[in-house]
Amino acid sequence: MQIYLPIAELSVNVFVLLGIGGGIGFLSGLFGVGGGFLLTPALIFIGVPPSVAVASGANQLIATSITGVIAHWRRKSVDFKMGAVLLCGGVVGSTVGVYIFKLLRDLGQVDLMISLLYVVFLGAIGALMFAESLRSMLRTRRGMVSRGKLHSHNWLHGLPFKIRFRRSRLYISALMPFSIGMIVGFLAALMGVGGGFIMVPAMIYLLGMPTSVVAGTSLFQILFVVTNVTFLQAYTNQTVDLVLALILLVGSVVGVQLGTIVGSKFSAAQFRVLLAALVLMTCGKMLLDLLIEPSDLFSLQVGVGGGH
Amino acid sequence: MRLLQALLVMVALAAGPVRATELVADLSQHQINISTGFSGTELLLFGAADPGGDVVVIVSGPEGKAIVRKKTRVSGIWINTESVAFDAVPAFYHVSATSRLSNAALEKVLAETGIGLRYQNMSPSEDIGPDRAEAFRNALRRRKEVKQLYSAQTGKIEFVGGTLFRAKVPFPATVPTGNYRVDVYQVEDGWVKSVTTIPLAVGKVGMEEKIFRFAHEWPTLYGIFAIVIAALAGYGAGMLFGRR
Repeated sequence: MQIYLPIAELSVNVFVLLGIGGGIGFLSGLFGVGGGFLLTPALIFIGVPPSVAVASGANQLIATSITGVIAHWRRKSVDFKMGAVLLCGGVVGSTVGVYIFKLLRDLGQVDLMISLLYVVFLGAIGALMFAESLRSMLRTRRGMVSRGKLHSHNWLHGLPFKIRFRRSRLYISALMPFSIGMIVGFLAALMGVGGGFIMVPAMIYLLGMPTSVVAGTSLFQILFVVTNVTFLQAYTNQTVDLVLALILLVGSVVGVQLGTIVGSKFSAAQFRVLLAALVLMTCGKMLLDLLIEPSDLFSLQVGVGGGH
Repeated sequence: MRLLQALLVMVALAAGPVRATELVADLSQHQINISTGFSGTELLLFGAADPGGDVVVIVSGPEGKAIVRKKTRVSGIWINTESVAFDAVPAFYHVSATSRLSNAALEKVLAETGIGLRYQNMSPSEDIGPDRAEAFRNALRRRKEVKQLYSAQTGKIEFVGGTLFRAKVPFPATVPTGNYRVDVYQVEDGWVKSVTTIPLAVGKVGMEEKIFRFAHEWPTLYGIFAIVIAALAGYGAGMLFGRR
């Protein structure tokens, strides 16, 4: 069944969109990542213009993350205090990021910049997580108690503004989550995504948060980021396609529920191996796109400037 | 449609013994309405022409600026290094011709008469030399053909009963909106003998048009509306699934 998307200005199969929405929702519920880093390429692949894909994707992610936050909230796996501190940093970082994005666009080559950022960050984070979680999985299989160090005490713990994050069982300086939120927000603005795939590993490895509260807290933070993006895109570029977002939404709300249920059946290490594998696959695809000679060296951009 | 054709036949017959039929043509519709279920359409073009010559139909969409970029390998990575801007690129372009004309002959006719895409306004904004201009123009056409927005076919126009001809003009689901023109040429010995132009409008209607106008005329409200809708849907789903 075909449906015409009024802003994207093309006709697509409803079931393809429902499938994409469902798949992204599933991942979102499972890992607590918004899924923007997969949704945008998937939409571009079926022919949606990149600017519309980013904006409508953000709109759809509002619904996904609200549903996810509610599901995690019931399970008491959202650290609202931590989320709020991360968010404050995120607002500062993304504002700077949007400004830098404009600068890069004026210089040209913003696409290349995005691809390179993806490859570098996805590659580094993916490899790190994959190695670490495989190791800890092997340890548990051998029957060893993998207590490990929860976190090491170093100069970071000497920082001021110490706050007790009860849900995360942490007593750390608020400057740490604030600066992580800032860096992630900055990168997210540049890469046009919610930033969950950077945020989740950062929460686990840099802050030492328990895996159980990471997904919910990340979704809580993403919710505000994507709301901001949706509004700015609708206001400045008129690129939010409501019809597209609504169809994706229907698929994704179902997917999120399934993802949350499946997610609770995994051990922490399995969870991290899976996320790492996903991140590495996306990275590999991006890297290949940069390295392999394209079938057509030329590309076409229409409707430049002047607008409608 | 049948009725129209029958009428045309009668008109042609009433005109008496014709030596050189004057070129007349029309479309089955002068407007393409894009609504929710739109998945491309096909219009019928029909008319009468002198059967001694050939008929060439050119459908072109609204013109706009386009940029063609070329990638080259820089230290192992494929990067856009060159770009050429074109000022007047038709969003949609379709050529069809009578079956007697081979593709090569059509190309020749288009070149000699100067009515083909390549011979129109599609020249780069800056002077970059004929060879590079040609390479980038070919790339532009190729990218458009992949998207089914440019097409050229001979044999699409068939003569029925002497002077009458008809042709189907296909429009893909991605057809850009705007004002189109359909030019029908009568060509003899590589010369354009006569030409007639039919206007065609492609536009959104109903729900699609309302959403589009809402987004463009009240962007602030639209943004808030989009956020509220998504938030309600997400909240509703969360409540619904949580109550099992």
